[in-house]
Amino acid sequence: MCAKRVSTNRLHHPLGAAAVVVVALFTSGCMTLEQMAPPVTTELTAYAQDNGQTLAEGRRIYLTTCAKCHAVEPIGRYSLARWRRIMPDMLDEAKLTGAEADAVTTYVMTARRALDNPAFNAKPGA
Amino acid sequence: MMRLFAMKVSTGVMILGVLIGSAMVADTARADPRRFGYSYETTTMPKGAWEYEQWVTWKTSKAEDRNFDRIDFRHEVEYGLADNWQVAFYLSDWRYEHGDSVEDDGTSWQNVALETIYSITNPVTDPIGSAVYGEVRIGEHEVGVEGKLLLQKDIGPWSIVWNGILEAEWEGEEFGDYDERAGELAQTFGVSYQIVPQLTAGFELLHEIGIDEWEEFGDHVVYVGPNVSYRGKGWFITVTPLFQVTDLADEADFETRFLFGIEF
Repeated sequence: MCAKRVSTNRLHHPLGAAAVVVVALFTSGCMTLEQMAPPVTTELTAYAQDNGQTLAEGRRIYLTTCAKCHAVEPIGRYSLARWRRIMPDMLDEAKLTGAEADAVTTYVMTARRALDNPAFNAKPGA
Repeated sequence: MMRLFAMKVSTGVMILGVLIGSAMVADTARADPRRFGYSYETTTMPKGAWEYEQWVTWKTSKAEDRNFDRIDFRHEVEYGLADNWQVAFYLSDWRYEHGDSVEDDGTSWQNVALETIYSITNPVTDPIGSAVYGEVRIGEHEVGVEGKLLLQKDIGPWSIVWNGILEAEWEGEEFGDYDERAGELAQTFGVSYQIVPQLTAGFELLHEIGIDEWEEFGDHVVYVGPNVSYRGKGWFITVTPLFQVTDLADEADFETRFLFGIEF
């Protein structure tokens, strides 16, 4: 009873309410890096026509170079068709070399295809 | 009083209009956006990329001088030497100021400078992003060096930065005859939230302590305010108005910084 009253009072205080909003915003936007951009595992490479080395390089570029201009976008947020429209503009903007552009495109498309599979999503770490 | 305030606001709106206007006509190039007005981020320009940045910092109204106004202009060119190392040239810093506490009202040239940032760790993939910053500037009445430690962490759409700053300055009446020396310790803290990939908003804090003749610490001055940044295709604009939350009569009550960048 006492604990409930304290909790309600905290919410009624403007600072308490602001803190709740900030924490809610913070946590709502928080996916792990692994959820936003699946790591290169044997499960992921099974969806690729290329080797794991290209995928790993693509993921590194996705998390570092792309994230210089904006937050890391969860790959599952957009459909494959949408990614095909997004990627050319982004590759141009990031000033990537041909090999870097190929690597990051391979990684994003492979990860997106994998995320479409419920079995892949169920794997730990994916 | 109201008329003076209206004039100051209209000056600010005019500057903002010029910057936004410039941005609107320049949508073909690329830029490395800055989400904060007073804090540096730990990431650097892509290798081989060039960027022009226009800074305008407006300070106004001291408790001891309500007519005080100062507008600092900086024209900066940045270049990515490597993906984690950039250099910048401040082509010219100049200033317009007037007020009862100003000795010579009007425009004056300040200095030219060279700046470099070397990124050590990444704010996304490492536990904390870090970089070091160095700056050397030379003017008619001053030379100065500045070092900064930059820390940053990006968590999803949130970006949190902290800058620790140590500055040394030598001043004098004549070029080469710098008989006064001073230092400054400062820190900035900022939080920014990405609302959509083009738009971020948050707040910043600026804390400065002067060190006269490297012997005596001066008063602390603290500013706090919001920041907003918008990036287009190849350009960005960032606005950070700060309000003094301490009570120093000889420091401006309000200052704001507009940054506009365009890659070429």
